[in-house]
Amino acid sequence: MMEGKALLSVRDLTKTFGGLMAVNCVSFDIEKGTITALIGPNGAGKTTVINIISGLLRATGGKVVFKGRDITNLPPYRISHLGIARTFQNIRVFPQMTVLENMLVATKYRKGETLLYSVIPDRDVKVEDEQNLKKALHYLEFVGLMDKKDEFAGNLSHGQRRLLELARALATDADLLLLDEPTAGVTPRTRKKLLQLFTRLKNSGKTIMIIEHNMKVVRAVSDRVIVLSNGQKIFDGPPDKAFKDSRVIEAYLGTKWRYM
Amino acid sequence: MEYLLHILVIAGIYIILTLSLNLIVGFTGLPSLGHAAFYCIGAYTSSLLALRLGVSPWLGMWAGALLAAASGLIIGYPSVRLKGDYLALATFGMGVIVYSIAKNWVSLTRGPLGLPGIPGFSVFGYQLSSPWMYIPLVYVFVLLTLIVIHRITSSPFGRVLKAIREDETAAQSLGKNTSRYKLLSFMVGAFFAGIAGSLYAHYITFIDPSSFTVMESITVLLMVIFGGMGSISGSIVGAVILVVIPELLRFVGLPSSIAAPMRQMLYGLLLVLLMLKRPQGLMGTYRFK
Ligand SMILES: Nc1ncnc2c1ncn2[C@@H]1O[C@H](COP(=O)(O)OP(=O)(O)OP(=O)(O)O)[C@@H](O)[C@H]1O
Ligand SMILES: [Mg+2]
Repeated sequence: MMEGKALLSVRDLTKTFGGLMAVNCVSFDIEKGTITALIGPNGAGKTTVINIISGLLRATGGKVVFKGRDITNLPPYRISHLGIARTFQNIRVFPQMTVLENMLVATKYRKGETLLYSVIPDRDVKVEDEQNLKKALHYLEFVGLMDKKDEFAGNLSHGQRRLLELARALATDADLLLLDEPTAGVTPRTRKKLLQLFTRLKNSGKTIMIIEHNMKVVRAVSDRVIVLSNGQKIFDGPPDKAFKDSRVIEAYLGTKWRYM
Repeated sequence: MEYLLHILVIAGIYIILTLSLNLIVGFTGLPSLGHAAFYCIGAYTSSLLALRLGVSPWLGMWAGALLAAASGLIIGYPSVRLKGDYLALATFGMGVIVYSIAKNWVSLTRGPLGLPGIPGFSVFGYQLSSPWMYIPLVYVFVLLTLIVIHRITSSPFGRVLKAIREDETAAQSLGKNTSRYKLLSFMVGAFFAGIAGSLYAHYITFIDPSSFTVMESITVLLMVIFGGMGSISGSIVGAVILVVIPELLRFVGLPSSIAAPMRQMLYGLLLVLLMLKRPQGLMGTYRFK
């Protein structure tokens, strides 16, 4: 079976908005433990692809297979339970909750998040609480936000919110991370830090798909590049080849030339 | 003195209503303009059970609360998928429907004539009949509501409710079945409103549809906003102040023909002042987005 090896297989994925073909018959596989960059000019359909994989949008056609299981059009919470987490291009932290609370929402509870055990005291819930607190703090430490844990997320700087979103995605125990422009708008220092984190995550066995406009970042971290243009996949291969490919250059020409 | 105790009983009932609505509106972020519907269902269910079938209010109250929660499920199931303003309209519609049923299903509810002679609660065969006897009863239920809502909102379950209020899409993609949480929040709120309805009916001994209009839903919503969305102490303060203030009007000697319309105006005025000076409510920290 060809889908046997890949962690994620996307086949003939298509999405139309009214008459607009945002994603047009896109297929690719993602191997475990790799970093794949998904690039392309504005409006190419990158975010739409991630929205469909994570279940926030329904596909018009095609399918998504994760760990050998068809997950096409499952609700987002089920997809999350199966091990896919994502961040958002326009950051979505919970502003009027503390950084730690943001993290704890992402952790898994078997009993603690049921209505019954929110009212009735229970030993198992205590245990879950302790484990999840530990995990939340671990990932806050990982992204370097430990000293902000009691701050409202709404009071964080832009870069700190990006870090929090990453930490929160990790706290779901996901194997596959879909990161939508995680370095957009952050300071060079935070960008450098994020790059280091991506590499560390990859080395610890996580699989990452990253949408990125900054070609330096793409070159620095990705094993492979997929280029979308007008909803179609126009390139799929190693980064050094991507920037020499005539179709890729053409797609970026005039519009996003400066990114190269 | 008797009158003061009466105000205290009524305040207790409104504390239950306000806390239960705050769970839905303040903690979960679901706009609800139909809370009086659940209050109405609780009141009519336990009154009718007592009057028609001789069921004890002690049992009728739970029946009323459960039926209110079940209606919460029925109307919530299709509605929680709606966003913001549409959900507000759906709950408003629900308020109108339940009110219309109470008013027009005459064979069951006697319509606008109301239900007189509702028996009171009895303890060890002794019928409670005056405000001072109802104070411990009502405040036991205030305490129960307070404990349950406090536990819910400070649990991991409650944290998910707050996350939904903050950003439902993010909560979904972090693995939370948000529709389910919203529905449960709605049902718990409805349940306690049902209890409040039953307490009210057996205390006052007469109910008619006019106690359960959309204006009543708005009044409870005002109490929530006044005290502070997502603040438990705020709900207590909000309910007590908005129950007591209109009574002060009567106390200073205004005839009730003037005091009644003044009440609505006063609420409006207080709300405008509050939104200008303290939009998060008296005790709240949460602000509208
Ligand atoms: N919910 C939606 N309704 C209608 N059209 C949409 C919707 N979401 C995206 N689109 C359109 O689909 C196309 C692809 O959008 P998408 O957000 O996937 O692009 P992108 O590659 O992420 O671009 P960017 O680099 O600007 O983030 C665009 O033309 C966009 O306007
Ligand atoms: Mg995008």
